[in-house]
Amino acid sequence: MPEADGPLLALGNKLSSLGLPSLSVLIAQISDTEGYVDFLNIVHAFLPEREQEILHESTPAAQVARFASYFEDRYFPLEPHLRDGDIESYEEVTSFIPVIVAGMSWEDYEAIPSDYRPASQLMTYLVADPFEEGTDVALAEACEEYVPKSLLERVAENRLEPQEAHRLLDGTRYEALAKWASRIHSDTGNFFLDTDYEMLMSDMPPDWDIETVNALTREWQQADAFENTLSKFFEWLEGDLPGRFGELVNFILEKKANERKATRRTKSLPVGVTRRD
Amino acid sequence: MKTKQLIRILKKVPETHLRLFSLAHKVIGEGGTVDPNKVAFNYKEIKEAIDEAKAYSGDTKEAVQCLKQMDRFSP
Repeated sequence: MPEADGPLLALGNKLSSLGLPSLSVLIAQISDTEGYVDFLNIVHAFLPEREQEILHESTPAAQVARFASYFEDRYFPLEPHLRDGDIESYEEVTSFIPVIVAGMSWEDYEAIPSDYRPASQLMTYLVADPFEEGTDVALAEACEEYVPKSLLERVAENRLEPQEAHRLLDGTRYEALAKWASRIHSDTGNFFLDTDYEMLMSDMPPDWDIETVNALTREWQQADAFENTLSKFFEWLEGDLPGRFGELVNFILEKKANERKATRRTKSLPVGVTRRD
Repeated sequence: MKTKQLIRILKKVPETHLRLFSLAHKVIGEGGTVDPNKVAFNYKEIKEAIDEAKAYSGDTKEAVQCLKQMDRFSP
């Protein structure tokens, strides 16, 4: 008889339902007392109503996996290996909050021409290189796959710093490009979007306290909304890459030209006279 | 595998008393949780008991695996 409905499975289910003490949890409690107590405190503080369910799991890894799953539903995502039950001790979850950060590291930026979606490659080409490392050649080559070279050449001398992008584009239908500029310059003001893993580990990683968890939950919601805005814009741009990218470039260049004109007009006025328009 | 077969196999498994369970009582503190000081005091004994429990756990897993295989290949 196959195991799916055999006596072996019935015995297993019966033993599980009795809530017998788990050997691996007992070993963890004794050999890693501090880690176990810290884990209990975290569960109690953040998921009190799930405490019994979490602690009823038969191994420390399964307990952490269940905790991570419930925690993510209510607060913000944790490192995926926790949810997969891939841990060796409670310390992996207790020593600091194992957050997932999405800040743009130099390695991430370098990977844009090869790994990122076409819209984000083109938008990156419109923004000044945050690392000033001269990766423009690979990026330009990647962009040439989607739009005419002549269009890219118009942009090359006009790549935007985040501040300039916000000044030109905030409040317009192209505002997402300004957000992307902040995103790749790690200048969004959001913890999750501005922190890469190197920064996370070199600065103090976040501690498990109520204030931090609440603040990170708010930051996560903002980061999620921010990323959704970008996603929608990527989709819009990819609906007609050459046409819409051209539209975007024209809009930026026109705005910049208007700004230059306005500056010249202001400079040419006699001292003490301001223009009424 | 029939239920009777499984019962016959399990009856042949010798009873085992793991030292870890009796030691666990010794290291519980007043709050009902493990007291690290008591653990430290009984460190050598606990380490041996943990090794014994881990070995037993490994053997049990192997036995369960064998039972599953028997189950899969039995008519």
